[in-house]
Amino acid sequence: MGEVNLSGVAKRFGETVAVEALDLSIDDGEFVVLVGPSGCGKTTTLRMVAGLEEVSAGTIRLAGEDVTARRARERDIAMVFQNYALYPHMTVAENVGFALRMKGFSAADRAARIARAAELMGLSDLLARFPRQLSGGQRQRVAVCRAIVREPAVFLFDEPLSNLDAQLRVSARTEIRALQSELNTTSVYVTHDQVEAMTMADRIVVMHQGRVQQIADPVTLYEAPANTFVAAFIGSPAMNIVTATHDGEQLKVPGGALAAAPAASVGVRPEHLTPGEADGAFVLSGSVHLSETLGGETLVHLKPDDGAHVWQVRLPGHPRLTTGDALTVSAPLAHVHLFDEAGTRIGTAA
Amino acid sequence: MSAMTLSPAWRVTAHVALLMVCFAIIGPMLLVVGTSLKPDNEIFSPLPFPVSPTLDNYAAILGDAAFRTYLWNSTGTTLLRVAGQLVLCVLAAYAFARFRFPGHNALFFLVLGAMMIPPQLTMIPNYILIADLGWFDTWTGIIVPNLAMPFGTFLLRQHMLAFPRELFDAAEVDGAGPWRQLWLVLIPNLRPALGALAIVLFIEAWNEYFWPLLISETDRSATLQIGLRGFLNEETGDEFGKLMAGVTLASLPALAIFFAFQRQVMQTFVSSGLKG
Repeated sequence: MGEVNLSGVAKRFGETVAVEALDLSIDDGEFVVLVGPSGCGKTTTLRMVAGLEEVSAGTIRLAGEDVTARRARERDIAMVFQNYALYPHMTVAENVGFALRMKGFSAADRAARIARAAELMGLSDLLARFPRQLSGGQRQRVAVCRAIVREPAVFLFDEPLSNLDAQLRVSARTEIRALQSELNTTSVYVTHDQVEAMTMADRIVVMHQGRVQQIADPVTLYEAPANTFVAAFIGSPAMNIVTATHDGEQLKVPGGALAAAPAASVGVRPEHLTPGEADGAFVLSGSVHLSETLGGETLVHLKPDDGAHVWQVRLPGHPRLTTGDALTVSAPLAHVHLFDEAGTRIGTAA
Repeated sequence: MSAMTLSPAWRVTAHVALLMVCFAIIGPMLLVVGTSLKPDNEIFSPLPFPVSPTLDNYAAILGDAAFRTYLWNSTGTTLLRVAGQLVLCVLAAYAFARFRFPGHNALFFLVLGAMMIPPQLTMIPNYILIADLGWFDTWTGIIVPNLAMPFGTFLLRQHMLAFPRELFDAAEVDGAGPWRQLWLVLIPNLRPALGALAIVLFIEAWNEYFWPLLISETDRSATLQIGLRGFLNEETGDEFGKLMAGVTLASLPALAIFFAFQRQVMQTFVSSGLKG
């Protein structure tokens, strides 16, 4: 069983707090993604789970056992590194079998397990090659193969797709997710790419400046972000978050107003704004500042007449809009998020 | 960046200067080889090369039992010294590159400091120590005081610092402790640097003259460099032909190794300077 439990885990480097009192429980077989901008503490957290970094406070339990003081080699984990960390002087087979060799498996057992894992990863024809003879995608598969051959309790992934090109990244993330589902092994995955996080995770841990901002499934994160940071970080293009003022009756923002309780800021996702005025909806009007074609969609920058803020509106297809055209858009109140002074989400305007 | 160009006059001057430097280096070597091929009656002839070349001097010296003993002593002490130096350098460099421990910086500073101390300064204390230990006129006496090699430690540490840390982490996660990380992951990837260092150490140890001169007293420990002096003898007369043949033979291993691996040696020292 591969439950992972972090209780009050913190990491300090001198005066700098890298991770602040983190509590996280991961169920057996669950795929949890740690996401956040650079320097948010996600990799440090992963390295603490791996045993490559000592914790400054708190406890880490793997499969119910307290492993806080154990070294990485004494924990039943396997890790895929950002640069793959394949041993350059070993062949693919030797790389994949290295951990088994360290565990004292016989040559015959090693060969059988290497062959099985290589077949699963489609690497059977590459076993005699050296890492320098492989493409980036193949190296990444070898790194994953090296992790799965051990059949560990927990997989740890440290941005394993960041060195791949965009196309390969999409197929690789699908493969990793499918493989994880098939093996049903608990996985902790670190990325700064929110799309990767949204598409792969059972649950996402959003981190910022060493602190957990929200832990939730992808849909909840998208629909009910805990604060302005999560709201802006999850979703592409990012949510429009605009400072609001309340005049006693209405909440006013540049380009529009709505009848709602007082709030410090209002957030609307670009894809929730549609052309035209709808009854009982949050209506914005202004002129087209810029129009960007995204392929099947168009991202329109809407500049209200009464403010400097530019709203982003994602419209389907290719509407014929040019700079300066008047445009009115609206969003259902259920998709208008309200945040307080501290940036914490109050709820929706509905 | 465009290549630096010189005017024709400067180019000729530079070439003449370089040729003079080359001649200053190669001239004595050619003289040694030429003399070694001269028969006895031509030894003092003003010509640098023999009129009637002969290999008699080589045959005589290779048939000399003492010369074979010197060759054995030189080979044995050099190989053991280089092996010992490499082991110590690797272990010390690994400790400095990989671990943080109390006094880490102070100890490394001492290593750097040791590089600055001229060997002549430590020679007499070492000589007294060797005499007290009863290692006088032994291989041990020639080898042991030279085992610590600060420069080698420094060079390997620089290479180890440039080694990707993720590979150590991967090995740790794979179940390898520090020793296995060293022997199974680091050393195989450090072979070019170790090879280059071994060559430099070999040449230095093979050509060592002063320390074996102090320590050796009999053929039991005398190396080639010391033994060759035996051909300069006031009583029986100097045997320059044999001496030069011996010098030529003694130079061959070092020269052969350097010519075979000079590119590797250069690359290692250049890269260690860049990566550190």
